[in-house]
Amino acid sequence: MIEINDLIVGVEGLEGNILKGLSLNVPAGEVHAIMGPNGTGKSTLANVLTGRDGYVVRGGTVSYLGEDLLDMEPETRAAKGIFLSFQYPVEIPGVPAMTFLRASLNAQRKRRGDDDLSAPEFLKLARDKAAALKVKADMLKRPLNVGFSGGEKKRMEILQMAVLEPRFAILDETDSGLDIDALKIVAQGVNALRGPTRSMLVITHYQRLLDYIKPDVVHVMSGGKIVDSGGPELALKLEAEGYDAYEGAAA
Amino acid sequence: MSTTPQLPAIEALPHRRMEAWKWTDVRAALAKPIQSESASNTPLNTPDSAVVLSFVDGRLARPPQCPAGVTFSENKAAGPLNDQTMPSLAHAMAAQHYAMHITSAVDTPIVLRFTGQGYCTLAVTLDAKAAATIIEDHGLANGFANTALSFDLGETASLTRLIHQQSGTGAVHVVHADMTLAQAANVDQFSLSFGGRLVRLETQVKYSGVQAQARLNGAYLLDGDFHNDQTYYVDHAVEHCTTRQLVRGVVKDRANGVFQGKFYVARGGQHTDASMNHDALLLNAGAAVHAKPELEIYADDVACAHGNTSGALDDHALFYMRQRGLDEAQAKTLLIRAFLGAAFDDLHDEALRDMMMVPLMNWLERAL
Repeated sequence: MIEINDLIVGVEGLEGNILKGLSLNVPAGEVHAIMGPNGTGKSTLANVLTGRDGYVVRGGTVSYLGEDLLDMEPETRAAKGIFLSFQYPVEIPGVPAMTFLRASLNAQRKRRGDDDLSAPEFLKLARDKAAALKVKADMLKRPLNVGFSGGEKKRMEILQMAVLEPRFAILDETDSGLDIDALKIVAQGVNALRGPTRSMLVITHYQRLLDYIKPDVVHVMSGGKIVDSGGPELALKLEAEGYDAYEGAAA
Repeated sequence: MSTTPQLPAIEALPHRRMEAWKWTDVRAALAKPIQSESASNTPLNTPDSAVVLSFVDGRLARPPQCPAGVTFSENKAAGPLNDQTMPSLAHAMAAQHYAMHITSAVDTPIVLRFTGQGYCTLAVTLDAKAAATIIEDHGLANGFANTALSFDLGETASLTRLIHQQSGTGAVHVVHADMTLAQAANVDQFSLSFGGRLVRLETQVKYSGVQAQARLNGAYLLDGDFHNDQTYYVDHAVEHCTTRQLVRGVVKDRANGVFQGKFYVARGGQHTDASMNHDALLLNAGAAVHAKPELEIYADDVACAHGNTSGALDDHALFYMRQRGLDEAQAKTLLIRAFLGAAFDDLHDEALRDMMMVPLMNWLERAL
C-alpha cells in the first residue's frame, strides 16, 4: 500500500537531516508499529507522509497505491485515504465537532467525485460510530477539542478515523495521555477498523499499546532510519532491554 | 445619477494631526480629486416585511409608507449641532434635514438605505416605551458621503440598530451616529463593515438616565487597499448603566482596519458595568490594524474591562483541517466564520442574524 524508499528529510532553512535514508513497506491489510526513542524522527515521518509545511525532502521516494505521495497537497492525500491521528489534536474554537466532521467527510467525498452525505444519513453514521467509542452526543456539539481531556481528544481522533474510513492510517502516540480504560476503548475502535484493504502505522514509545493493537510487524527506528524489524516479540524485547542496543547503529 | 456634492473647504475636514482622526485622514483623502472608478456595492437583502426608506444623494427618494407608530418629517432647518466636525459639516451643508418619530413598539423592521454622495441628516426619536428595529444599509460606489444620524431614546425605549456598510474603491464615506439613552433605555447595535477607499463608522453614546444599557458589537472584513474605521465613544454620565462591546475584524492584502473605543465614566457614573473587546485577524503580512482601546474613569465603584488582540490564523489548525480533507480556503472560511461569529452571537433574532451573515459569507467566498 505504501512504499517508502531511502527517504531523506530535513527542516526548511536548516542543514542536517532528521530522516536519514528511511525505508519502509506497509502492504495492504497489515498493521505495522514503529518504536524508538525520543527525537529519532517518528513524528517527522508522520508529518512528511501527511504533507505538513516546513519540511524539505532531500532524497528518496514515497509511493502510495502506486502514486507519488510527496507531490500531493495535504487535502488530496486525505481524500485518497491517508489519515493521521495527531499526537496533539488541535483545538478549533467556534467550530462544533459535528460540523467539522461533516465538512471533512463531504470535502473528501466531493474530491473523490461522490455526492454529499445528507444530514440525516450523516447524523446516523456519526451517532453510531460515536456510541461505539463512548463519545457522548454532548461532546459532538462542543467546539472541536476545546476543553476536551487528553483521553477525549484521542477518542475524538479515532471517531474521525471511523467516520472518514481511511485506507492508510497513521496513529502518532495515540496512547499518550490515555488511562488504561480509555486505551482499551481506543484500541477497540482501531481494531474494529482493521481489514484486508486498510493498513495502519502505529507510532509509539511503549509496548503497552501493542498489547491491545497487535501489530503484524514491529520496526525499530533510531537515528532517522529503520534499524531493525521483526514480529510482535520484538516489542517485548525492546520493553525489556530498552533502545541502548540500537544507539549508534544508525551512524 | 449621482451628482457631485459640493465639497467643504479642505481646511474644514478632520486630518491625521487630530488625535481622533490620526489613522483616518479625511482631508488627505479628499485633497486629491476622487477618481471615478467602476465599482458596485451590493445592497443588503432585507426582510420582505420591512419598510424601506431610500435616501439618494442625501435626499429621500419618495415619500415613505411609514408603519403605525412612526411619523416622518422634513425640515429646512438643521437640527441641534454638536461639536463634532463631520456631523456639524453634514448639518451645515445638507439641503434638507429629516426626522423620524417613533411613538410605540413597532414590529416592522425599518430599513434606511443610503446610496449616492453628499450630506444627509436624520434625527430619530423614540418615545418612552417605544421600540424599533432599524436596519441601515450604507453604500457608496464612488465619491464623498457624510451622513449624520441621531437617536434619542426615551425611558425604557428599545432600539435594535443593524448597520451594513459596503463602499467602493473610490469612496470616502463617513457615517456618524449620536445616541442618547434615558432611564432604562436599551440599544442593541451590530455593525458589519467592508470599508472603501476611506470609511469611518462612528457611534457616540451618552447615558442620560440610570440603568440604561447598550451593546455595541461589530465586525469588519477588509481586503485590497480598503480602509475601515469603527470608532466608539460611550459617556457613562449617570449611575448603573451597562455597556457591552465585542468587535472582531479580518484584514487581508494591504487593507487597513482601525478600531477606536473609549469608555468615559464620569464622577457620577457609579456602578457602571462596562466591557470592551476588540480582536483582529491579519491574514497576511502587509495587512494592518490600528487599535486604541481607552478607559477614562472618574468614579470609584465601577466594573470596567477591556481587551484587545491581533494575530494570525493558527497554522496548526489549518494543517489539521487540511489533513481531514478540507482545502485551504474551506479551512480558512470555517476558522474565520467561527472567529467573527462570536460578534454575531448576541443577535438573537435568527432571521436578522442570517441576513447579516450573507454578505460575510459572500466576502469569504470572493476574498479567500
